[in-house]
Amino acid sequence: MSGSISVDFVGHQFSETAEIVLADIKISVKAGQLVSLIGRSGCGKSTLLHIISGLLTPASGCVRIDGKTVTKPSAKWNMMFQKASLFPWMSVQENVGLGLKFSGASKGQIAQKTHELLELVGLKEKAQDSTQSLSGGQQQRVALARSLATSPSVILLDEPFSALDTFTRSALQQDVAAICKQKGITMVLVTHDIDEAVMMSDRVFVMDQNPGRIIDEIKVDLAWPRKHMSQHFQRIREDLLTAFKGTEKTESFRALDGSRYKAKSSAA
Amino acid sequence: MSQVASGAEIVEGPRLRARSMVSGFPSKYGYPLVGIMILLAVWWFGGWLIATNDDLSAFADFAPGPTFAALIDLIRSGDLTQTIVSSLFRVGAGLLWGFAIGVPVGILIGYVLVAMRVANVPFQFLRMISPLAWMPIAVLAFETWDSAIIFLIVMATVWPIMFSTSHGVKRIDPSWFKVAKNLGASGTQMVHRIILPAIMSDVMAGVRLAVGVAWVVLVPAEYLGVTSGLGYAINDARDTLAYDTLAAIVLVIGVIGYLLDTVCGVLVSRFNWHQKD
Repeated sequence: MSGSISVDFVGHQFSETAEIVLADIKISVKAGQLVSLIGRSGCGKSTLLHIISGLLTPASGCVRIDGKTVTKPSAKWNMMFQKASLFPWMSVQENVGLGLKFSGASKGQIAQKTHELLELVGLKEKAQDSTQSLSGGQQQRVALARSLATSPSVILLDEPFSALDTFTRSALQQDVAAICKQKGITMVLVTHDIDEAVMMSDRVFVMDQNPGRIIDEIKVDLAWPRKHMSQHFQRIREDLLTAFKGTEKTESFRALDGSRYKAKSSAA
Repeated sequence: MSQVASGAEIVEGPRLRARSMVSGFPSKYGYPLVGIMILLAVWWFGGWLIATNDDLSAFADFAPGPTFAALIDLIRSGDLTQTIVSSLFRVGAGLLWGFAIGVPVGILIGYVLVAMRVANVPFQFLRMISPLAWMPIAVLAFETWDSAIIFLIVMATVWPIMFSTSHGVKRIDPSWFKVAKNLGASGTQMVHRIILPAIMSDVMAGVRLAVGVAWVVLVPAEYLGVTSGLGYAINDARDTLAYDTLAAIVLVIGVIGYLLDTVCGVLVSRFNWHQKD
């Protein structure tokens, strides 16, 4: 199975004079694992995800996927954003098949794959519709199908459900996790929703800010599919909340090389 | 449930009827017809005033009657077709060049901030110069009159197309670039599959503006040396005091301009992917 991710001492600043956004991030994710990055707004979760995807080059350290250093975006590690960002001049089917078109797949291959994926996300009957006629949840399902079309080994989710209503979000959380498990896709989810992290992940990394860094890791050893109301779910949720509350008190951070970063208090 | 529905129907009925009257035949054909009738009436009244004034009676052929008679003669003789074809060829060639230069440069200055900063002042400066001000330079620079006229039309069309294109590029949702890069788009695929479809309605809006300007510039541009085209025909009619022919040519210029704008409007709608209410 492919899709292992190794984030090796990644640090980032947007310019030499700017504040350090990320410091010495070290994460290792096995192929097929589902992990979440959770933290307060501005702690650098999305920046880290952009670095993993190759959309952003880190100031220090590197990211490896299946042992190869990530230097640019690839259809093999696809990213989904908070906005579905569908192309409105294309039909639903054309949106889903776009990555395959870029890779030079034949019309027949594209038609077959898009048909399968639209069936998987429950939008088979919308194939020829305009994307502008879809609801927010349906648009995110199309974006998911589009991300899956190129058969990625890794899928990177940047708060993709945050703009959706509770019911749609819950359904999509279940579906995305199930699809990743079924297809053996490694998932990295950025979220600030603790329930979502527990619902969708095997491991949750808690991030603190100033500079952004990993301060804790919680293993989620719940059976699939998961239920919000189970005692075990609630216990893990409490563990995460405790770790999350810890981010309010942190004032400074000793990096792995022994240097100390000046960190502002994030207490409200 | 059915009571609510039927109640709503009673309330909505008159509104729907009123809406259908507004959006039905009258709004599509009736109102424009009334506008045309008013214009014809003003024209006829002006012609009557001229004809009844001894000082102006030499210009009586500007009235609708002689104009339409001259128009029929022009059509029957085949002169009008040749005149229109010559003018349309020049406008078409000028537009083509304006499009070929304006779209790529517009994409460049819309996409690359440095290019925009470098080009902004010179382009705004050149844009403000009337295309007709280039006439003497065009006459010196080009071997044929046709080329000189086409150059003037290019100078009129390139700016609206370029700035509309650049505006369209700036409006592109940045996340589309991220998604396309993520899906493995090459530079060419990015232009072909993402940028061009995204900006096409803006480009066509620029073309629509350009057609309007080109059509206005065409007539004075065709005063230059050529012996064909609508501008030449107007000049010739004036010199020969054939005011009925002159008015007929003016009528033709207006009709063709209107038709060109209508075609452009259809193209703008065709390429417009923004959701319609």
